[in-house]
Amino acid sequence: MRTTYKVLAYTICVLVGVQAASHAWASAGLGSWVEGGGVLDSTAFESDESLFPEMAGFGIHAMNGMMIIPFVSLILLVIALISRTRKAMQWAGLVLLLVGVQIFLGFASFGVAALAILHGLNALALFTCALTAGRIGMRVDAPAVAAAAPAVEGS
Amino acid sequence: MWALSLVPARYSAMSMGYVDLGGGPGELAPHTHGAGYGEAPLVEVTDLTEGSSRAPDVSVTLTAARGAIRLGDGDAIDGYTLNGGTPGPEIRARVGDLVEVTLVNTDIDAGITLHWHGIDVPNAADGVAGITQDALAPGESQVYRFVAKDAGTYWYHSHQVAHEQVRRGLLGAIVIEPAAAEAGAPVDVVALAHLYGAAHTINGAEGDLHVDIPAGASARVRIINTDNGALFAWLGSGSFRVLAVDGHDLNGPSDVSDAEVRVPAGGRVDLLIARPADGSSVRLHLGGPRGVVIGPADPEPVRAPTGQVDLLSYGEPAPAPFDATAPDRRFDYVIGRRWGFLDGRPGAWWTINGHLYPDVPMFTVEEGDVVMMRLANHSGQAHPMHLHGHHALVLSRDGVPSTGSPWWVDSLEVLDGEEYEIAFVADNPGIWMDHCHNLPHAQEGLVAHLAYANVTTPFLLGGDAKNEPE
Repeated sequence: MRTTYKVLAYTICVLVGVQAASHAWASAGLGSWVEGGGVLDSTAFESDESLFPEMAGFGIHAMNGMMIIPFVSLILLVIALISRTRKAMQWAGLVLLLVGVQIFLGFASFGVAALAILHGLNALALFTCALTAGRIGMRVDAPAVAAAAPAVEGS
Repeated sequence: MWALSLVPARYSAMSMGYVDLGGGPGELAPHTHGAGYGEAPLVEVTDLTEGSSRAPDVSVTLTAARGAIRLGDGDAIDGYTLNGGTPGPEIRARVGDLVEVTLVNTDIDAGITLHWHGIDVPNAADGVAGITQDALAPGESQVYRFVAKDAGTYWYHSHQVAHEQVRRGLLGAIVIEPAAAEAGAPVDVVALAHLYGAAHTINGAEGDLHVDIPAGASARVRIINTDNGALFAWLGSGSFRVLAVDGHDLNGPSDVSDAEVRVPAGGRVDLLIARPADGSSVRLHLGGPRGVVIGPADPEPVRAPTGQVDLLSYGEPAPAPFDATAPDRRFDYVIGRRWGFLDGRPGAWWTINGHLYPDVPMFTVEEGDVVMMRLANHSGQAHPMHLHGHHALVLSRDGVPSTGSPWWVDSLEVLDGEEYEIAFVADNPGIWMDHCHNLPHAQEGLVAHLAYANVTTPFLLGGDAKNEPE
């Protein structure tokens, strides 16, 4: 279980990295496309067209951010709850909370663009929390839990 | 929750969601709306035709086929054509004309229809797959007949797999002119804007549309936005007047010199633009990369002004043709967004009054009702809302009453956080879609219907014809 928790936490780190990379990739593609004469206006923005190949990065960012990362974060919390390890639960809970905040900021930034700044900074906080969860989430409380619930420790 | 979200492979729109009577009389029993209400006999949408058997004044055959659409840069995209091209032929009629259009599907496997966007046609001619007809399979054809009643600018497009077929070219312009030609009328120019792939076009061609008229003469530019996002129009120099919106003339339009006009997705705006008497040319910008140039020269593009024409206060007021202060029905159409399942797919989906498709309201009216609808948007994104078969009068926005010209709409953009009150007379019996014309949003469930009591449909969504109107 400790390994599962650790793998999930580090997976979230990787997925946050995918978020940054996919958006950067798409933004670079957009810049290149506009430089080449492409025009992005409301009609193009709202179209279902793949205007340039790197546009897939926006889709990856949306799918990963709204579906995959929340799902993995939820599983992380479930694993932590099953383990009954206080630190693990704290860090997993914090990760899920930051994921929720991140999605809210992502949507809210459509209306208030400045919130996208917080979206970017919160991504760093989320990455740090997930990294910390992977490194110390179960380790600190492990002996106490082992004494109280050896079956869990051995699972 | 997941299982409940699944949409059956075949189902009637009449059993969709729940009845909303808007405070008026009727039966609330679920899954029976339109069937067995009151004493009046049931009417099927197929019976709601133009009625007259007289010979058409305007007769057109449109043959739809798969085909490559060649773009200016030499690339081609897979698309659809009408009579060999896209957009399809421009149809022109005069008020009072009986228009008859025969649509033929050559080889489009998903099936096709044609919807007359903005024209208040009889319900049987509305062209919505699964509601007013079955999608036409390859080799099949259908005749649409309607009388041209209101002079104005309209367009037609497929309403089968609309989010894909409209984008890929099944569309065209239709203009209804006054019954008699008007002496001294401005030069008539249609500017149908459409995005093919990444190519911004006017009437199917990239770049500017050039219109050479004499110095001092004027042009009526009919802007048609066939895309999913808003189109903005502004003038490089001089001034314009907004003559009409969604096929209805505005009263007392004034000169606009430093503002742009928003044309919502699906919407139309007619502008009056004069070529200066000094012989210079003017450029009407339509979004970023294209425009209508009036005159022989090629004026430099200019940036869009920061101001925007507010149709809530533009023009002169005039009496409304009905009393909207005591409506027979009041409906809420509140758009939100939440997590859930749409036909089994998880995601953040649009909601109508808190409900996910297909558990959406069936706005139920009786013929003659004065209907008020509150359109509110709390979803985080703009929605160009399109009501079929009717034109509604804008009463207020965010509680501020309309003080300008009567503003009639069939395609009204409701921005995030905005709330409109609109009103209309239920004078066109049928089952009518009321949906977002950002067509991917409609595909994502932002669709409801306005249903007249005692009207029902024999057509099914899904089913053998694979009807998929969105």
